[in-house]
Amino acid sequence: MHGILIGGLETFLGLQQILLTGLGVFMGIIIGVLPGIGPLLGVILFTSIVIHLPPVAGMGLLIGIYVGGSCGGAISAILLRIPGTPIAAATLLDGYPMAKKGKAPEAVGLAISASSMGGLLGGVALVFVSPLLAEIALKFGPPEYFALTVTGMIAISVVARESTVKGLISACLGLIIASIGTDPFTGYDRFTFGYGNLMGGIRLVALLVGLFAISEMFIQIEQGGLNVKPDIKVFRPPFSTALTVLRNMGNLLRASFIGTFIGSLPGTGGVASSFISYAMAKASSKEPEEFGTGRPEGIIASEGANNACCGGALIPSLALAIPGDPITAVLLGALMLLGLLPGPELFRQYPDVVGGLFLAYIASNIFLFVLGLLFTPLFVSILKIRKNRLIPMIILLSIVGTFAVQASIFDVWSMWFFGLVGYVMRKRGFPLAPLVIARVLGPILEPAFRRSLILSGGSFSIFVSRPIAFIILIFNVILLAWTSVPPDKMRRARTAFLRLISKRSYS
Amino acid sequence: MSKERISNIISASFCVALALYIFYLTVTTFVQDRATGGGPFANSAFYPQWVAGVIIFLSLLLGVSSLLRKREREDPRWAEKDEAADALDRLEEKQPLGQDNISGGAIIGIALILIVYTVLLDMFGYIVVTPFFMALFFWMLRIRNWIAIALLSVISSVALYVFFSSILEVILPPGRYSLIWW
Repeated sequence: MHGILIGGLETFLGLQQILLTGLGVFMGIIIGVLPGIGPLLGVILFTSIVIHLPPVAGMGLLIGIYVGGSCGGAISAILLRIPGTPIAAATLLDGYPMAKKGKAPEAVGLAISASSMGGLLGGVALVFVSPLLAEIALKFGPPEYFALTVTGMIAISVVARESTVKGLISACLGLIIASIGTDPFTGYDRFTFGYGNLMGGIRLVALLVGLFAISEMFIQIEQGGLNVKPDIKVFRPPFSTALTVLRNMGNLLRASFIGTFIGSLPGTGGVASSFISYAMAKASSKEPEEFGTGRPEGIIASEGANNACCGGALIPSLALAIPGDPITAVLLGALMLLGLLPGPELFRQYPDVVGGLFLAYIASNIFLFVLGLLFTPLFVSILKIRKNRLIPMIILLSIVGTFAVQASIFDVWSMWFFGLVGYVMRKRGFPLAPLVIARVLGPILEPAFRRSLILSGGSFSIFVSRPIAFIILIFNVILLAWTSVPPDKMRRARTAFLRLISKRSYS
Repeated sequence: MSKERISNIISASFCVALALYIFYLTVTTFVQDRATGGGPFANSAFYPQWVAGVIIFLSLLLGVSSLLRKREREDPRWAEKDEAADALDRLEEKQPLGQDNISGGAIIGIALILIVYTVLLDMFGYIVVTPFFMALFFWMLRIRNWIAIALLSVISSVALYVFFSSILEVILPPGRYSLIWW
């Protein structure tokens, strides 16, 4: 681990890397503040730019956007009662009442400080745990990898909003999309219909921008409210809020632990972590009834957890190449586009790059604290940007960015196509996250599947005869069975579970 | 039958059709191109067939369960709804805000403009077409101040051009017929 961090110093300590990471955080906060675009869209839109940069500098920019974007949503949650991103929803419970009492600067200051410190604690876990995990994973063979990749896809599908089955179908569609193009084993061009443009497969950037950015912009246009300009006063938060967070150390540590742990589980993410952390803080408080009336503890619990979650989510993503949510999936996709394959081999072959990514993450959280508090007046005034100014610019950036990946109009057409696909899927209640994760994992899953069968001479018994693979597959079956329990029974079980962990009635 | 059930059954049928088509391709063109012989290594159709099979199974499950389900299912995530859960729902469900909504026809119009823009972009190049496209787009989204439209569209087009061509050194579409123009 020492080696990784020292190697990382060499790759990260450069003007370009540090400046781009800072710029990423700055852009990330703006993206988080703006309604309708969150860290996911930010990372997607900038992926098309990043692939023209060197790996650590480019990934630094994206990690900065991820970290900044995970905090920016809190500002709109506190001031407007509209979370800029879903992960900031729990922040409004106490943030908005606090702002109503005239303490908006304190509330925003708390959110930024807690995010930054929570993120740093998540970073400690990232630096310590992921090399260990990578060490273990180096012993895995193709059958274990197959089983683990399937877990990643099942986990993201079972937490899907509508139904597990739709999530799984979405994941399978992602696998089919990933299989378009040249077969890695035989060199045969699958599903290309003779088009040379399809030989390399569907471009990841075109797919992502279409599915998420284009469909989101159309849904935003449909939603209306295009010319609304909120009336907000610009203010500067006091740096002393950092001390308030430090005085709440127990709360912050609990939030960070919950955030990191939940973030590291595939499938769950920032939304769950901030809600659970908030519920736990409320349950263990001496005055639980005060929560929701503007308690600083509420903001710290929610914001500390959702940024610690970033560090947690990066652990399995980097060490096992199993992204837990669509944002880390896009980050992995970007890493692959930059020519680096995530997973245990990355830790062995390019420890300096891994160290650079660790340092970029840690630096991002420090930047978040400094830039976040210094430029709050700017971020607050960004809330006044109207949607009808923003949407055309985002669409133009989508078109130009997608084109620029390899100067191809064909990619722009695929982007429109997937924009339509994404729109229809969302309207019909099919989650997009499993599709994206499957598209990123497909190039790992198929070789693992076929190599396993080559090893066993075509017999499927290899997945049961190897103990680790067998255990992971049994776990997958349990995961699937667990989600097929009817929701009302599940609800009772969950309430009982929450009672158990909080030792109080949960209401 | 409720809207949601019908929607699910349509989606399920579509997915079955898609998976069958994939299967059909693997037993026709794949076989013609001799990409299916041998074991897991040499058989390019092997893995897509498995995935298509899983899609068919899951789609049938979705279709049948939609037909048989007695009552509509609630969102299982929230046992008790609070304000934050409501805000999250509003954010994820994108309920109309009820302020200056744009008609469905205008939205289709915007989609058509984007398609036409892509064609013109390929023909005449980025710098010629983009400012006009952006102006039209802003106007469609109900900005009526012509000075604002002109400034926003020119500045955004030029800024992106400068950023991509000089900082990232990417050439934006020059246009096939640009030689005639310049």
